[in-house]
Amino acid sequence: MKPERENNFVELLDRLLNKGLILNADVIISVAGVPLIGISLKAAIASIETMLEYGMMEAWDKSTREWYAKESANKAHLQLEHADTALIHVNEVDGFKKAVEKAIRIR
Amino acid sequence: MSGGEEGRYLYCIINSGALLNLGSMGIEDSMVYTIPHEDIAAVVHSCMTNPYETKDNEKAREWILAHNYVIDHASKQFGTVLPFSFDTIVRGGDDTLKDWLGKSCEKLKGELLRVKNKAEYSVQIFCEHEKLKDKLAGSDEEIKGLKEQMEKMPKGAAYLFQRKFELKVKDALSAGIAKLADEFGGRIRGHVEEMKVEEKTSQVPEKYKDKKLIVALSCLVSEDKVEKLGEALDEINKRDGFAVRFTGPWAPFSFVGLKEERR
Repeated sequence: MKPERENNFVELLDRLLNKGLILNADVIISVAGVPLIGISLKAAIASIETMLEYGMMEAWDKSTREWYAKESANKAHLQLEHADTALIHVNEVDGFKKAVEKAIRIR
Repeated sequence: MSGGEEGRYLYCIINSGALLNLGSMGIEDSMVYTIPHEDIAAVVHSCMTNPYETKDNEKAREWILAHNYVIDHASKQFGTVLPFSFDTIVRGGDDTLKDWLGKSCEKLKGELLRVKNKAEYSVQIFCEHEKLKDKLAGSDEEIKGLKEQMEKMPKGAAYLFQRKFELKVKDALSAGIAKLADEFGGRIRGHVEEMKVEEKTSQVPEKYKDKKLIVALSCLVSEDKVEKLGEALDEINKRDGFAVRFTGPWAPFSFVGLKEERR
């Protein structure tokens, strides 16, 4: 199957408001999301299911993290000379679950 | 927007050190241009330091689409970009941005390299829950036995037995789903560079409304693996009782680093 780039505004909104590069800089005066944009618009981003109810996500999450940790350990190992880059990869692994949790917390 | 101090609205970081004027394609037709440092650049427009905020949905929609349009445009011209969230505004002028680019250059280059020739795709897997339940219950010998046993019982006893039976079905369903998750995950993983499970997800089209979303993923995929990923998803999509929604490509919103705790 081919990926659809349908005009899916809600999906776009989800990415633009809740994801993307964030800077750690004093100069930043605003970041996306609450409370900068209309409340009704935020409401459009609704969680449609409690996926946990179906157990699939837990199983998936666990195996994904194992796989991911293994894959990324290799990457981190290869890139130790470039400390910054390696750090990003390692943080990505350790932060996998945290990132997911954070994604929820910031909403 | 009026008042405030001088600021720069950020769209993305690109893999090019070109000083360019991209035209009036930004939010509210703002003039979008690049602020280069060495061989990378920030794509920005000049604004005051008042965040874009509105309760007018139509207006917000236009802003969001404009933000994304600039990112898409830059991606086409310069390859995969590091996209900023909507409404990321920096206090200061071009020099402030240049300073920041200078300080963050190595990290940004590392990130650009990591996402080079890759794009983000969204994969959502739906199932017809009842169908899956019947199928899993039907293939489990213990459940079949319990069901037969229950059918022979007097009404009262069968009623009490019902709960035990339902728990069994639930266990079988959980085990079955875990197995499927492994299988589907295995099919997808080989074709993606990175993958994130999305615990919350946006609304889905009408077409999938009667199905349950069982897993939603954001995947960072190499250009040359998209077709293979599509084929792998086809296999899942063809399975009785399952449906896959595959969308993209998007700029790698879910995979850009340098994230900091939001205050």
